[in-house]
Amino acid sequence: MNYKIRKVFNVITTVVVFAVLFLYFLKSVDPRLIDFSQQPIFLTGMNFFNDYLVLPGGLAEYISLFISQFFHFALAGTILLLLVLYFILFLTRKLLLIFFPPDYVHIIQFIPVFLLAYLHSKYSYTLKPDIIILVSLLFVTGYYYFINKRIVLRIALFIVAAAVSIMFFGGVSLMLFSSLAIILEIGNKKGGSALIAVLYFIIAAVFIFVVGTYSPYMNFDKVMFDIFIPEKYYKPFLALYPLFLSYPALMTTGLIFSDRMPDIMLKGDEHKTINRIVASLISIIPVILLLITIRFSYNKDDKALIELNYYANNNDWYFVLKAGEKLPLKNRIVLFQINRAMYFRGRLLDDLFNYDQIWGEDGLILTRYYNSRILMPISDYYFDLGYIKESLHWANEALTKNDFQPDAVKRIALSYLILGEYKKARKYLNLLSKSITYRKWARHYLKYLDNEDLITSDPLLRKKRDLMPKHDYFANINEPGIDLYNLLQENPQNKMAFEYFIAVLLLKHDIGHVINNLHYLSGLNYSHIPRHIEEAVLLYLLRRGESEAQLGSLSISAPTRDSFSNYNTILSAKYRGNLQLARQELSEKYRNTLWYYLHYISPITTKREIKERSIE
Amino acid sequence: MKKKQYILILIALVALAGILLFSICRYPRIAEYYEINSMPEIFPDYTSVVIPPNIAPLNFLVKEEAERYYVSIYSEGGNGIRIVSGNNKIIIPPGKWKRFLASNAGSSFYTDIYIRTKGGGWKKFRTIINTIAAERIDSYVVFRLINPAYILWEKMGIYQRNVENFSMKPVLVNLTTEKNCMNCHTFCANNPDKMMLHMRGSPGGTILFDEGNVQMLNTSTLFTMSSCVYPSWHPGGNIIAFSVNKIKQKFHSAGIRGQTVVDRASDLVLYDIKKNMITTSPLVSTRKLENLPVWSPDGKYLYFISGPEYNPEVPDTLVKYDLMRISYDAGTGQWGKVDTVLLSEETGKSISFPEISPDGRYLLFCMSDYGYFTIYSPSSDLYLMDLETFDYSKPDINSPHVESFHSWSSNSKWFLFASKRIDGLNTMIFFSYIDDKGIAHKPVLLPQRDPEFYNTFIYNFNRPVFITEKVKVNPKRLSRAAYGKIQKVNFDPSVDIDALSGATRIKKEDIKD
Repeated sequence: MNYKIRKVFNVITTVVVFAVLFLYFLKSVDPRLIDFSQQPIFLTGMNFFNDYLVLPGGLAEYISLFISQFFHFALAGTILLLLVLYFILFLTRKLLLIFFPPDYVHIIQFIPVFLLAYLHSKYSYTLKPDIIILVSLLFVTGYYYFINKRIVLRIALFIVAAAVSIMFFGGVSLMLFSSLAIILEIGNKKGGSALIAVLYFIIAAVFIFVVGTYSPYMNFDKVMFDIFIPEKYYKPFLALYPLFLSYPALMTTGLIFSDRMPDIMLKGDEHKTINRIVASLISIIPVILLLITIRFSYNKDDKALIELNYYANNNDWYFVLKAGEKLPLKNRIVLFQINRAMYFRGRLLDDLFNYDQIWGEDGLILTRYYNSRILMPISDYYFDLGYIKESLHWANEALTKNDFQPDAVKRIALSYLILGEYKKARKYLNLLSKSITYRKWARHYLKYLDNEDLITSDPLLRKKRDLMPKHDYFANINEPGIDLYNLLQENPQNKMAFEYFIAVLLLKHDIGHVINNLHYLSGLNYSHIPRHIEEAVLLYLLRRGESEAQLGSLSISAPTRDSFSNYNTILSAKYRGNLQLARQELSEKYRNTLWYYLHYISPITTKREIKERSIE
Repeated sequence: MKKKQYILILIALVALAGILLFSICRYPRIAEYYEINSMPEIFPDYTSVVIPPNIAPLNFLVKEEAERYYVSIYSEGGNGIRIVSGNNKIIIPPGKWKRFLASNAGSSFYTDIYIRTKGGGWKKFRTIINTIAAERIDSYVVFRLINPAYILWEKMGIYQRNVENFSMKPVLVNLTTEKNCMNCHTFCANNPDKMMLHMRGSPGGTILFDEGNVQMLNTSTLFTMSSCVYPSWHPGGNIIAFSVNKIKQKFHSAGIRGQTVVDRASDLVLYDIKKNMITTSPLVSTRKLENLPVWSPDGKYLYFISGPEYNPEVPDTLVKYDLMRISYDAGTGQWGKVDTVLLSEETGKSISFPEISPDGRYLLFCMSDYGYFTIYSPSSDLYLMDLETFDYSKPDINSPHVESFHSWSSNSKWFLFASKRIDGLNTMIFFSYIDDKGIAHKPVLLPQRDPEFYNTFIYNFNRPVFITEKVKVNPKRLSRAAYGKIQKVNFDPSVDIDALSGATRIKKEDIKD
């Protein structure tokens, strides 16, 4: 009876915890953002599988990718993630019950789950450590089943499990499994001994030594500590240490102190009835701890940054701007996406300076200072422009840095379709058709191969074909304005090339060339002169002492003229040209103008330098 | 107890009968079939080819829709191999294949393909006739696997593939060297015990594996414009010829080329392993662009390509290389004179990547529209020069896509090359047999266990080279050497620096983009 009631409390607690986790991951974290951030891909077939099989720990990665691919779908991803956590909880409980009374297990079983909830709130955290824990616990649980069998059998089982652990799940798995098996043997009152523990330690050490010495794919430290070894773009989360160490620590504690642990939930030595109030209170503790964990795990800013890029990837420009408002502009990618959104919403040359363009042209175009994290955004930029070969170039760079990154593979496939290089497109589409999540997309475009009618009737592909350069010249990533100029020369209807070209010139203080290129306005059907061009014209006229510009049928609007006049009045008359003194008032009234940018925001003026990691 | 025994015997008999029945019935008895008077479409195209007697099974796809496939491979003697498949993948049993090749070396063999469509009967295509050469091919090919990348790199490695089966193992993978770049793996006379490769990034340098010893070298000197680049081992095994280069990469906005690699400057140097010394000569270090050195098999000549001095006014598309050679005495270190082997003016094309057969008879080289780094040039084709007459021809093994990175088998009867002919995207390895008349036969794609392998494999088989046996050095030993003591090479003090117009350290301001 008491046992049943205690079990009921345990079930209720578990259900509540997982219900909270479900809502948290589905609504707050959102697995789709994890998917977008990590870009995991899982391909069916032996070739993909074999690539992971040769690496110590590769199978853990393989399984992790298999599950992670479903993060592409919010609900499926949440459910799968919770299933993994549940199995870890289940096995943790089984292990802890060996040494701990149920009342204590009721709370401490959740420790790994809370740590994993914290880790899974970080968008760069993968499922690999979870799989390692799951498999190691499975092996230990299986080993424990034979704990009272003959010693030869146990040793054989240990050797097999240890070999499988290190070959397929890595050194961390081996260490976790063997440490727990050693503890079980030490605590085995019937047949365990310190000698067996020492033997197991030696076996584990030998395995690590052999694999570390002979594996051509990993150095010794990586074989042993895999997920704990930092790399160029990977820094292990600190929470991994308590996550993995908690198991041997808890089991050792249980081994030493279990005899002295009294029942908590029971009252009355004779009746042994459950104290329901105490039991209820104890059941609430895990839920409270979970809520505290969530409070300290969830990072709104991290999520906002990924959302920004996610919305940009889906061409949701309204949401890009909304997300961008919450983020600091000192992150160049933020400014980059905001500028893109403004272009696609037809506002770039009117509202460019609504946002502090603190990076100048490097906040508009990223190519001059690039690193692994912005390769696909650069490809996006060129794709937007219709500069397909350069978009292809950067998608390939992204693919180099992140094997089979789906967005890169899709971009490459589409680019080759646009270029008419169907055999190349087929290869990447064939690749994606081996992915459960991207198969549909791939099969859709496979129909396009060698079918010009389908391609020309596709609005996106047709548009890009029209825009892409037909003349050959060399791309200039260090002077992107030159590329824009070349594109514009070749196709004066390329509106993005025009607007970005003008924006680059404005951001570089090159007002003269802005004026020289105003003739493109008429061909691009502008109903009015964009505000920042008006501001540039007025500045130009002032500098040259002229009063009127040749603008064809267009003219400078009265509000802009008035603003310019007032700006000059404030600066020149009121503050006698003192920029420092004029700053506050000008900021309040004219912060969103070209003039304010030139005086106060531009990196040319402020001498701001880009310090982020450059080319590798 | 007896009853149990009877049951066990009965089960064993039933199983045996089942196995026999399966063996007998597995292969269809095709009494009637419709004969299709055309060749079957298979991938890879293993039709009318000459293959070595020690190649892995030529597994292939039948690109015809059917519900059942039956393939019969047989020789004049009649006996052969039969394969039945429910899908279009034809997987040849390795053991049977090996025996079949061994017993039919030097003669032709035949492949009949039958298909049965749904609701229809069997159809047979025209018989494929191939030939098994008498001469074996070198057992291993070493190559680098890289993405079709442009500037950046991440994971890469140098691998060795056993041509006789499907085994592919790493020689060195950059996962153990902080993902640096590794390139230009080269062997002395196809000998796996004498090897070198470069590393770029950190750790950086040149790894030299010579008769059991592994060393990491720093090949930069005050008098050379760069560390050593493109290598070639002298057959004596003590000297390696290198180029030194100032390389630039450019990306195209349109057209069939993705990128172009050009040199602003290049010269030749020789590295003496025993003396740990780099030397050169004013004859191969001029303001012209000397590049891609390769030794003749007797070690008496150093062949190389030579382009005009860099001129920023001249477009890269007009830069063409000639083929030259210079005599050299490895014993005395004496340089001879420079001879012209073939002029680009004569061919109208740029010459590149000379490689001489080990018997000294032929020189295989590339020609393309311009430049020398032909792997990016779809116009690059292979040409064969007879070194007895210095006549050259274009063998019928080329395609509209790039052919480059060729290497000779040690018996000079086979060569391999990298080509993008399958999809125009990735380089794949092809073998070609060269007969006694100097005719190069139809190329054979390196077979894979899964014939669908190439449909989704997006890496390049870069710079494939033959070796006679596998590289036995433990990859870990090579990667440890990368972190070990680095030996700095010396520059030969006897070289007249003032006489060199190219190899002296060229200052940045001298090179204008």
